Amino acid sequence: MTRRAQSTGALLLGLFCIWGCSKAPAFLPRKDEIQNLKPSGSLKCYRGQTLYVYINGGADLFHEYGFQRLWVQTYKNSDREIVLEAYEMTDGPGAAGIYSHMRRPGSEQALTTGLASVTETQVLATRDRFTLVVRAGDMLPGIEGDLKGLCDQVCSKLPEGSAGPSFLGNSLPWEGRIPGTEVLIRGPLGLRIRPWAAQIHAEGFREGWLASCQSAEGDAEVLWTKFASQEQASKSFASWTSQSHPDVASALKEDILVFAQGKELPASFLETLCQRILEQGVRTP
Amino acid sequence: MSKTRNGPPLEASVRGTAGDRRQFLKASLGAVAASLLPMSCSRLALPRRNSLPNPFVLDGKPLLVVVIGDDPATMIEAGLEALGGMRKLASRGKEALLKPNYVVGRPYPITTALDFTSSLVGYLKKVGLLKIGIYESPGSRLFTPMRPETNMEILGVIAEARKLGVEIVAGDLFARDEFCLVYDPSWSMKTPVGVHKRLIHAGLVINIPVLKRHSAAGMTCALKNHFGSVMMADRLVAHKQEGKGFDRRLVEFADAVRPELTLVDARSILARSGPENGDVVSGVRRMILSGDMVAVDAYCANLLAEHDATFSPEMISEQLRHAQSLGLGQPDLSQVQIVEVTT
Repeated sequence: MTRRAQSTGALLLGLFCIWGCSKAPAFLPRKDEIQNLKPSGSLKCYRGQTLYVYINGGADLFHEYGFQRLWVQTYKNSDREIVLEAYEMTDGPGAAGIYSHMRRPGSEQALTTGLASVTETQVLATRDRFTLVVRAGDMLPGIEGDLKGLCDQVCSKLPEGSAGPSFLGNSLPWEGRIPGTEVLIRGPLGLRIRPWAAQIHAEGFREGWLASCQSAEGDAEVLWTKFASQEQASKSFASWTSQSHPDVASALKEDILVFAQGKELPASFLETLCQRILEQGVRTP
Repeated sequence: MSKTRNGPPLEASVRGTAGDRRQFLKASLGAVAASLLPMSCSRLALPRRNSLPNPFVLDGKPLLVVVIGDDPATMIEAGLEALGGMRKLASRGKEALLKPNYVVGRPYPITTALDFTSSLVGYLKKVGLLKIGIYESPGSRLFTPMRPETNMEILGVIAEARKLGVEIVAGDLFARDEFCLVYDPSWSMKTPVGVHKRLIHAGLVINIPVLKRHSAAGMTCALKNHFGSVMMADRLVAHKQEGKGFDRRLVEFADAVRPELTLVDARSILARSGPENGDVVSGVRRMILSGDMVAVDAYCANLLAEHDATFSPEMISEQLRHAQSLGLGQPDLSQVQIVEVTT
């Protein structure tokens, strides 16, 4: 590559990074709005492919959900550092989707501004087109209050939007579904969330929903998938059924393919579950 | 028996066929020749890095040492001694370049632990290495927020390196002139890869990854750690490969570098999700050492699966299969000599 080409590339990349990143977003709290915390360092912004510079391999998954921009601001209390990451996605379901993929099952609790996934070192939330990660910079516990407070402060400035955590549960009218286990999958990488799902032939895969369902027989995981065409769904189904998958049943109807997985559950039960989910389907917003 | 410019006689204990020995001698001489060359690259693609064939073998099988413990310095010393000692790499000279994982400015086990790196540097100095560098390329100097040094500053690596007298090599992932084009006809993608010059010309490369989940690769450990060894354009092209193409390309990045030694600090691991946001599992208390990256990943995949119900070694089977086909190592653990050491 010539010097001139390098310079042009650098200039284009610079413009690409700066475009849409030049102004601090209104949802970031002002200095006087947050107790104990002070912004530390400059606000950083990453657009499109530049996300790879911030999180390298982690960027792929965000792109599957329609990543647009990321704002990163660090805050300090007396001796600890808190990092706020606000991921802006193309739409609300995309933001709720990446939230569902990242949350730890059973970790959700109600903050002042709504539901969030809370661990000792991180608070994860989704509102409108945004997914928020508020985390302890040193990954050590002890500042849960500050993490929740900052998350609430940012969430209070974001519109509810059409999505949010409730979108996930509302989309699945599945009988026996365990709330908080729903995961929206928007691309083949998302299928790697479970070892058995990673084996699905993903050509033409468009969208998937994963959730745990409770029944008298035991708990099973159900994956509903939609393909670009009936032909691609049939191809994936044929590839799946050509191999042995103990503990997993599957069913096909047009461009929809459903899987039910449960260890030591009767095959007949898993097959019935697949048929039931095929009938109940997914509520599209 | 041959003598090299920098080190003692070549290890007579290296086992293998006459072909292996010829390859070994060729590689050793190549390393000496490379050390005499200036840090430059031709415009034509080079062959993969001229590394040493795995000298850590026992009864014809690659040796893999698993150390159980808590103190990194004790674990490193016990592990390397069980492996046969750094003397097996003496032909590579007195300089080493470490390749950690500093993909983000977040602490261990998302990135390589500072106490682990310091302990390793201490050990390498003790056994006679004169110059040690730490290479990573997580950013670019084109824009201040993306500087390649930033993550290392946040993690305290730069301050620690200054104290230890270790050179920091912060590669600029957009700077084409920092990288040499490397190509091998056996690769699945018929295009060269830009590998950082310092790695290509290093006599001895020591790979020091962490063990964690990865949304695109399933797992990141010895092989995947070399995403940081190549320039950004190649990383992006790899990410755009569908299906198994990504898995194969990441193996080819590792094949281009072929480090002599891998040490995985798995005292803790990142489970369920990654490479950034996941569940930290403490108390794993393992360190894995080998000259065979493929055996390391095969072993670590089983270890990760023990602690992460959402992961199965099957998820990286294509990586291991392709790595074996390139002659990078042995994924079948029944063909690996595994030695366990408790400290």
